[in-house]
Amino acid sequence: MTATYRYPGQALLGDYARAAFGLAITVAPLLFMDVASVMVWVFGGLSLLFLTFAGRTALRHSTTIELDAGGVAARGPLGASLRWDEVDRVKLRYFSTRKDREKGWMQLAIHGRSRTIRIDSTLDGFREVVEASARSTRERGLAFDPPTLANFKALGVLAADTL
Amino acid sequence: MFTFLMHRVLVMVPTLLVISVITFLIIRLPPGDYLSNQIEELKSQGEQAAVEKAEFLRKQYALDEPILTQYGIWMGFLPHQGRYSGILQGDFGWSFEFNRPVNEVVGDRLMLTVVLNFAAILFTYLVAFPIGVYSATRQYSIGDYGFTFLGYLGLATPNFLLALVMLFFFNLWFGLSIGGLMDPTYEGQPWSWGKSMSVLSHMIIPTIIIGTSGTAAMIRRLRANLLDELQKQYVVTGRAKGLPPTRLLIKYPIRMALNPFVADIGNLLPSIVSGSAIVSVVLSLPTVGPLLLQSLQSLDQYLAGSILFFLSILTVIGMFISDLLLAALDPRIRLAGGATR
Repeated sequence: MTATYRYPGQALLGDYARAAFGLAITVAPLLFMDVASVMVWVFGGLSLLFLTFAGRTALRHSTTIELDAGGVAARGPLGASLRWDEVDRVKLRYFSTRKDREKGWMQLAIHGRSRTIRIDSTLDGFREVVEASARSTRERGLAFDPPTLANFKALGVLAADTL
Repeated sequence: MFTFLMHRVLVMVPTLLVISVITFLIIRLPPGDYLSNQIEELKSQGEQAAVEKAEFLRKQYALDEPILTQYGIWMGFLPHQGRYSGILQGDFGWSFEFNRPVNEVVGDRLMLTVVLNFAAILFTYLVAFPIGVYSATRQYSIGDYGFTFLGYLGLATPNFLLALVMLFFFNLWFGLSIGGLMDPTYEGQPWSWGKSMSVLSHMIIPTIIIGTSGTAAMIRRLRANLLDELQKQYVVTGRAKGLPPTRLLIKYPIRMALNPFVADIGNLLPSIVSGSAIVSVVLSLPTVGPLLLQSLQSLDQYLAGSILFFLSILTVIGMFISDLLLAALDPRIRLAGGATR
């Protein structure tokens, strides 16, 4: 049976707001002030980055993740699909901008066949996808790197004795 | 990682704004300003023409405006009728003490400071890394004891004292003067191949002097971290499975032990710039350190503010780079209290 997951709009609101705020503070000086040429490059570069971020958030918004016993697929613009027997590496990363490393988020990267499916922890079925990818990787005897192992342990994915 | 990068960039913007406010408030904290003091002095000497010029400059640089307006003009957020346009427009203001624009006063010093401090950081990392790894992998060997002794010596010796000692001995043994950052013939000259080579050859001693204490501290930290890492279960398992020692060492323990190296980038940049001020005075180095000291003493607000703001930007950029590298090196979740699950 295929399970379908998507990024809830509310979870992406923060990133939309960040992109809009970032664009506002970088584009406004370019439009309304006579800034030095170096600052034009700085603000111009930053506004391009925020524009890309806005596009990436919209891309995630329109992507659905399909998970079944055979593999995982990201449906939507720039989508990709991988069968579990094609997966050669799984990475689970944790990011936080706070010094105490609290309130962060995770990103699962499933690599195989020269393509990568990246899934953020804001996805409503993130845990199920992590469990499935960890299980299939372990069953095929592939190794995890220490950060991925530590993050699996933190999530309680896979029994401790198997890690 | 891209999401992390964007979140982190967004944090930098309010940080820089708050820093600019604090910098401006700090330089405005002492009562009066350079020109007020100057005007009082000139009035007491009865020099009317100079008083008029000082008052003209006060108006020109908005020193008679409320502090918030002054801040807005300094940053370039508010327009000003005078010729001063603000930092965002690339105008850092006027140095009242040097009677020249700040851009001109700071000039090459800014670049020389960046180059010198970059060299000092590079020296710190290049020397500390192999010694730290050697000391940890050969704990309690003669080499480890020797480097530990040298490390403590480096930590305990103030940089300016090392500078004085080196000045004396280089003169005594080699008849060399190691002061300055270039041959006097190149001072004030445009950049050329000869001038660049002169700067590079003069940079060696200051780099060693400025980098020594940081190197010593870094060796101690890397050694301690790597020793912790080498005792962990995964290293023992790797050894038991017969992994070659060098491969086992490079693959993960060194990578994990690099965290303090990377985390220190943000702190190193400003601490080296401000910490090297006394060394710069001793060695007559044309960097911004001595200039900052002088401008703070004389309440030369635009010069002091610009240098402080520059140092703050260096810190913020350093922290940004170190956070990005840390996120790439060690993206593990941590329990409260800092322990890794």
